[in-house]
Amino acid sequence: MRKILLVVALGCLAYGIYAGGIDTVLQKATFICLECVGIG
Amino acid sequence: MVKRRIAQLVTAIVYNANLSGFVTGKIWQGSSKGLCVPGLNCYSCPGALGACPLGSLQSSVAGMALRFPFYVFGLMLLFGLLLGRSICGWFCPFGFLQDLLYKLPTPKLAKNSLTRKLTSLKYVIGIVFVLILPIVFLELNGVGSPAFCKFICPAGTIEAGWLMTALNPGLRSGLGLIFAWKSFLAIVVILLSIAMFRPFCRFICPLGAWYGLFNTFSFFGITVDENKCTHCQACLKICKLDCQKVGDRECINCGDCTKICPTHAIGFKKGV
Repeated sequence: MRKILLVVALGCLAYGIYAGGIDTVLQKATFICLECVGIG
Repeated sequence: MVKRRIAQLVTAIVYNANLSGFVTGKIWQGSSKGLCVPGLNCYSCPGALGACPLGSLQSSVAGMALRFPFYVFGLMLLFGLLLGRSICGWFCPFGFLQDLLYKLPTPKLAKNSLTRKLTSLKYVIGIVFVLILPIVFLELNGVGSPAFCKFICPAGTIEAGWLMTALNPGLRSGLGLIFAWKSFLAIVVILLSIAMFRPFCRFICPLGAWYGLFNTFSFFGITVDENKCTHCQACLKICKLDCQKVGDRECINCGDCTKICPTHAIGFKKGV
């Protein structure tokens, strides 16, 4: 079970990186999150 | 316990090593922010070097368009498989903060049947505020909104809200009802954390709820040697969480039970 899930995790991670997932996170995380602060 | 405290302290420092941010009030904008850390740590904390997985998940699911968050989901699945809720017990700065608050010498509220029932609340909060509401906001407004961060997360309030507004006069002019609500919640969580063990982790945190799903089969965590176990229940009596069984979804793998077990039946998995 966990070996299958490990393959799924690595597959999702690899595809996510290929599809620009890091940039999506980076764009959100490098600006002040007004929702987190309590303004947005 | 000492090893865990050192791990928690090192984690809090490593996650928030942008020390200059605590003086300037500017958040880190380096490429490391593209990587999610395993524990709950607001990416708008002035010290944060990485991204919060919960905030990243919400913004990836429903930022400008609805899509499956392969990258964040893959990372969260990997973290869960490797460590389960050891992340909560060992590598989460907000869990560490609650541990420290609980050390204050005051009367304590013990676990009971009500707290056990309340542990399910974090799953409801996760589904509603992390998955459903960001999509609802996207459908209604055309732009998603991280509802958990916006309406609940006390880590965001303490690490980002209070710190950033204290350091940036420009942000203070935008404060309103949501900030007041979040500050109220954060104060409640702080006061509860003094009186009871880790209330946020036990009842509210969707990240802990997610990692708990992997606890029984994660590579690292607590395990029981059934051949040695006498079912004396000493482990459950010393446990401050709402575990019904060692290593279940509520267990944060703190290891307190490993020391109390009279037959040494409880130990840490070897990772295979």
